[in-house]
Amino acid sequence: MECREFQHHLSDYLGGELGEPFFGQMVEHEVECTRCRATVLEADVLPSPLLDTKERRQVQEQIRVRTEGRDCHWIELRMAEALEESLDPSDREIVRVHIEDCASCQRMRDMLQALPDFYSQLPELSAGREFTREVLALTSGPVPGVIQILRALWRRPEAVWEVALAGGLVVAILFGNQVPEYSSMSAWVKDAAVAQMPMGNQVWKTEDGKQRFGFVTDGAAQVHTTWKKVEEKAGGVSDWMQRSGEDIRTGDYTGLLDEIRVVLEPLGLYPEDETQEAGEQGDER
Amino acid sequence: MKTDEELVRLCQQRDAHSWQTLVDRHQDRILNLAFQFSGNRESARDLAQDIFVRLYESLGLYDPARPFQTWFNSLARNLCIDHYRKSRKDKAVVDPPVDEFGDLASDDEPTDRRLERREGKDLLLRALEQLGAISRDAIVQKDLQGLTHEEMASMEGVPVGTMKSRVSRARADLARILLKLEGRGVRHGVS
Repeated sequence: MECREFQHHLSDYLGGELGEPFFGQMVEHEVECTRCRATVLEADVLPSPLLDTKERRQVQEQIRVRTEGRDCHWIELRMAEALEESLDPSDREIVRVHIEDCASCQRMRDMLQALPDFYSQLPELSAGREFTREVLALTSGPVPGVIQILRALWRRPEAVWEVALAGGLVVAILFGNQVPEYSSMSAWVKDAAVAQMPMGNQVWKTEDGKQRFGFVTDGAAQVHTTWKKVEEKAGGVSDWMQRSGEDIRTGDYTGLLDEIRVVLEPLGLYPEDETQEAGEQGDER
Repeated sequence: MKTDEELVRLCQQRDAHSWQTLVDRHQDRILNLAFQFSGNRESARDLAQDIFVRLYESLGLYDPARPFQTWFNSLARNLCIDHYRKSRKDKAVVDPPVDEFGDLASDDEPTDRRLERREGKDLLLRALEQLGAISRDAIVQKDLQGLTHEEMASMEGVPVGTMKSRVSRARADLARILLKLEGRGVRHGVS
């Protein structure tokens, strides 16, 4: 049976005026056709003034026009849209009428609404330093010449400060054990040490009598002041300084070595093996 | 803090430091994008590295008049789609992707909750694997990366309405596959 025929006999069908086998065919079509089933439901709840056959047919015709072509696929797309935008009122009504009577679309609606929960279960990955190192290794170009270095410094003057700080850190890591005891240093040597080792890192003496480069919390105020001076002289903190400062603050020596490397390696000043070794010593503190 | 566009300009002048900053700034986002396309951590890592290598090689082609993020997203997306199409073609049988390190991510979570999360995640990864490249792209860009319809439409040069339809269709496809995987398939026309 076609929808048109079903709609034509709907009022007789609802009024119980149809006989077999036609009544059976109407029942069969109602079970199979979501749209006509929705029409039956709509007609069944019409208020009493519309029970007049003519008016009922008009309403049924409006429903038919409104829902024509609105199959389950169309409903699914509207429901998917509705996840983030409110639907046009007429579309919303069609969807409401449809899913009231369509178990498949009800399941789809539930699943569509559950999608954000599924999404939230995907992990949030963090690339980490190792990834950066690998990318840099894959993309590193030839070591630049002196002219290129000078040009680079001209374009980014704060790089001078970065090189100076990175060099100071390397010297401190490599030769930390040979620096005289901190208390015996002259005032300018202490200032220089603090300037080279910002964010609380100073030379200190361990229980076994060796002097090490490490983190001391009680020097924080002094170091903060010095760091501010460095920032002012450098004309503002750069991304590199921020990352290095964070590495020093958190004691991430591997990360710090990476930062030092990125500044010194292009200049051919990065003593890779020795510095790695010294860095590992620093981590043991 | 330098903008992406300033960093790219410096990178074009072979400033290694700016290149590292650029990688550092975008690597997490790109790694997650690659994971959302590949569903596998190792592949995602390789894919993300490929994206950065391609970016490095293409820096000379960057048009400063265009926002870097849009340009880079477009480049990364194209590579992800290519990778996804190729990986689907290579697989005679689609192996359900399993996130093998998933359990390590949240040790403080109760076991049953962790299992539930893992099941949900594996189910989603399997469902995503069955989507076509365009639908998967729509889901990743809109629902996982949080791009707007306008941004997506601009990236691909299609009308916003087309992109909206594409996203709706992709969501419906994904929901249908998830229902099927859960054993609650949709059979329209039968209550």
